[in-house]
Amino acid sequence: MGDEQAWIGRARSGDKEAFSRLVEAYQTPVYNLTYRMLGNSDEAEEAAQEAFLRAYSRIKQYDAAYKFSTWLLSITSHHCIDRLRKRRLTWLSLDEPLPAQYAAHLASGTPGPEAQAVRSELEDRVQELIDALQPDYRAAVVLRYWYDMSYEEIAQAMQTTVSAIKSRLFRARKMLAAAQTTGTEMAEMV
Amino acid sequence: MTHEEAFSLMMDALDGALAPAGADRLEQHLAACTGCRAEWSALQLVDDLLAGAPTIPAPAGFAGRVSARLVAASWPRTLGALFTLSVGSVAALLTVAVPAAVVLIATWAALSQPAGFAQLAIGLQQLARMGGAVLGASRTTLRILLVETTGSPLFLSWAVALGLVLAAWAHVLGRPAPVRVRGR
Ligand SMILES: [Zn+2]
Repeated sequence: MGDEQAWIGRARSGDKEAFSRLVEAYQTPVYNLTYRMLGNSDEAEEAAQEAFLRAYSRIKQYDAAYKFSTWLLSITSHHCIDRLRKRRLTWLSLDEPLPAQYAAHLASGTPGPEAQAVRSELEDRVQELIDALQPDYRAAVVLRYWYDMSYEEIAQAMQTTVSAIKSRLFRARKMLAAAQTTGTEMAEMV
Repeated sequence: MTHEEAFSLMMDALDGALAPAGADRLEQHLAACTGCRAEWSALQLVDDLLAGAPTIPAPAGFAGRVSARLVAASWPRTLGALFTLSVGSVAALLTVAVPAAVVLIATWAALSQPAGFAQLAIGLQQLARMGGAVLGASRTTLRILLVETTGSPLFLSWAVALGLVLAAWAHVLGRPAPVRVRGR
C-alpha cells in the first residue's frame, strides 16, 4: 500500500516508469473487467490498454481519499460502457421475450460427463448470460461478482446512487434468472 | 407476503444479508408459491454460476504493450506543443519586426538626401520635416506592403500561413481547463 501511494505520487509528476508499476499491479483486474464487459479477448486487450492510458492522463484528478482500484475500475467500466453503446445491439429486457439466439445458447449448458468440458461449458454460459445484459447492468453485475464490491463502492465507481445500483442488480438478476428458465424450457420443448 | 416482497428477501439472501426472521418468512412463502420457488432456484443457479466464474488474467506482455503506448503517446503531444509555440513566436516576431525594419530603412533613406541630416540640428522645421519623412516613409511602406506585395503569391501564402498558425496558437492557449470529475 505504501509502495502504491509512492508510485501514484511519482506518476502524478509524469514518471511513466512509476505508472508502469501500477499497470503491472492492476493489469489482471482491469483486463478481467474489460473481458467480462466486452466478451472477447481482442477488444478486451484494446479497451484495457485504453483504460490505462486514460488513467495516466487523468492521474492528477485521482482523489487519494478513495481506493485507487475503485478509481481505475471506474475509468475502465465507463470506457467499456461507451464501447458497448457504440455497438447498438439490443439487450435483455424484463418486458420483452428472450431473443431466440440467447435462449438457444443458454439451453445448451446441460452438464455432461467430462469435468473439463462441463467447466468450459459453464464458463461459456456465464459469458453468454452477461453478454445479454445492457451495459450498465453488466457493469454492476461484474463489479459485484468478480470484485466483491459493496453497493456503495459500485455506486461510487459508476457515479450514481446506491438505490440505482440496487435496482440495476435486482433487475439484472431477475433477467438472468428468467433467461435461465426460458432457456431450459425451450431446450425441453425441442 | 407479496411476490415482490419475497423477491426482495431473495436478493437479501443472495447478498448474505437476510435476517433469520426474514428467512423464515421467505421459506413459508416459497413453500406455498410455485412461481417464486422456480424463480428462487433460477436465481440461485445464476448466482452460483457468476460466483464460481474465474478471473481472466491479462495476456502475456500486456503491461509492456501499455508502457510502449504510454511513451509513444507523449511524443507527438510534446513535439506538437513545441512546434506551435516556436512557429507562433517567430510569426509574431516577424509581424512586428519586418514592418519596423522597412520603416527604419525608408526613414534612413529619406534622411540621407542632401536636405536631410545636415540641417536636422537647425530647428523645429527640420524636425517637423523629419516627422513628415517618417510619416511619408511609413505611408510608402504601407502602400508597398498593401498594394505591391499583396499581389505576390509569396506574400499571400505567408499571410495565410500566419493566419493559420495564429489561429492554432490561440486555440491551444484558449482551450478550457478540463472539468474535474472524481473517478472519471
Ligand atoms: Zn410468490
